[in-house]
Amino acid sequence: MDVSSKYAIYETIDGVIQHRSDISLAASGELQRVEKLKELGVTTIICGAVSCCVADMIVEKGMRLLPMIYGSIDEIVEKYLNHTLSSDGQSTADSACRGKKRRKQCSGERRGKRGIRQKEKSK
Amino acid sequence: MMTNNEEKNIILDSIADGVFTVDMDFQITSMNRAAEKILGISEHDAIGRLCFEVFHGNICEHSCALKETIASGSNIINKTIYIVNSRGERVPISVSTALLKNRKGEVIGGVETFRDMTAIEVLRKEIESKYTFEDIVSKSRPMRDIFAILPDIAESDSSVLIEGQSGTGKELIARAIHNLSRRRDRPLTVINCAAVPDNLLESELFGYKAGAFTDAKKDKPGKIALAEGGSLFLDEIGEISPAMQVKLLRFLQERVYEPLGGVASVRSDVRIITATNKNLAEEVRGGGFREDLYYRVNVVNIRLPSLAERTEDIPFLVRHFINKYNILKGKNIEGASDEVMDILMQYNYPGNIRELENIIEHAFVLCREPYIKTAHLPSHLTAQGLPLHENYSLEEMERVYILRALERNSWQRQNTAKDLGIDASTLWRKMKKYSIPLR
Repeated sequence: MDVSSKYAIYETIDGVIQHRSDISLAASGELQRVEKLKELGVTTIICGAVSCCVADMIVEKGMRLLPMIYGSIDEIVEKYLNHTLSSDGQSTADSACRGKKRRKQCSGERRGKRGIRQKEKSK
Repeated sequence: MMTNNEEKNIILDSIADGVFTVDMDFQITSMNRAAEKILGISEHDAIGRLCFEVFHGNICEHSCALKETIASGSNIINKTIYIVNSRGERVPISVSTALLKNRKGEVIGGVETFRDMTAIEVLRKEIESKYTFEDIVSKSRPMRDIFAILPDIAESDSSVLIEGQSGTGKELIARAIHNLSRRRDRPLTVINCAAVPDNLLESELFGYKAGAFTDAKKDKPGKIALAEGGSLFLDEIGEISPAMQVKLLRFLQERVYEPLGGVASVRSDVRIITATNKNLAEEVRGGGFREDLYYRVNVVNIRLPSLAERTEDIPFLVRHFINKYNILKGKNIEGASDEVMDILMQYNYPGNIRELENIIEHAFVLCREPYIKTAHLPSHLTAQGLPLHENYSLEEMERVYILRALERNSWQRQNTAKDLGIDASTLWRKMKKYSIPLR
């Protein structure tokens, strides 16, 4: 999520994909990208690695975060909609992002980007 | 008895740098222990995955180092980037890449080595903070000397004259003096004497009363009144007229003034900081500036060196401006390429630090990559500023020399040929030889 600027946005109703759009937010910083995704109505973000700092931003914006997920985008989204997506990574990332470590990371300098694979937007 | 592979694995696992290899499909085929530690993933989990799913570098999406090496065949050495590891930490690293070949010499993939730069990054930040004073970034000796005396100057409340070429940071020094003084909680007002016509400068400085002139419907306080209790920064003091010099001298001597159209004198408590890009002492000798006023404003003198006199600051300033514009423009540019730094180090900066800042701002408009490259620099730098390296061949030197001459002559071939002392047809032939396009 930190180091990625390309996103596939899926719009679903009752677990059925209605529409997919691909967007690029290349020129923006992490905060602007997270805010833009929120503005677009994204409710869940499925991504690879995410720093504690960006994870905080996402959670603070009220979006659900499923980090450390890898593979083909369409397969992942299908698994997510079928409730068969393994989210082992989520607990790892959550535990790493608690307490002082998270605050320390977020106070550091703002740099680069990367990571999201896709997210789901529910109506 | 150990096999060759086992021996290699032991060697790889014993080094502190992370190493992983990929096949031609960018799937990870091996990884050493240091890589496991830095990336936070076991070799077992990493093998077979696409490298960007494991590595999470900020260059993976648009300028993958391995892809570049496999495509071009050339190694990448010590590129500074950052990764996000599986523990959610951003780790600054330095990466190098090379081709991976089999016994027959056929390319079978790539190898990436990387070094955790966290400790070095912490040290770098410490050094940077050591060389930052208020908003001024410098490690040069003359500037360090100024930083050392600035708190004493600020405390003294004496008038200060800051001399230096345009763009050397005179206003920053004035602000630093104000911010370090006991007046810091009161305003610092700034007026550029060269930007205000002389007939308006008086009303700008001293203010006016209603009815002082046709359009003066109500009282307007001047810059001196607005700075009450604080500091007044008079930039380009060398540009004011002799008549205005007399009025300013009176104010500096008696600390009282009369607003235009006013009858009562107003007492003021303001510290005066002035600046000029002229040599004011010479102006005094030439009769262009009053000697008595010169001594009033020049109680403490600070002379700022030009950027050409402090080239060691250029890398610091480049980083400083990149950080600044990343925030202002919402971008995430990591730095400048080595070629760009070469050009920036060799340029002479007639416009000093302001010019360097403008160059970085220009690059930000064009740059959509993590690193500023020569294509993002203003054109006068990419030709005129091309460095002539000692290890250039004669032909490479000639190419750069021709480019400089073309830039100098606005790409007019006749004039350039004349400038170079060669025939226009010879110039044309050489341009074709060195693939220099027409403009």
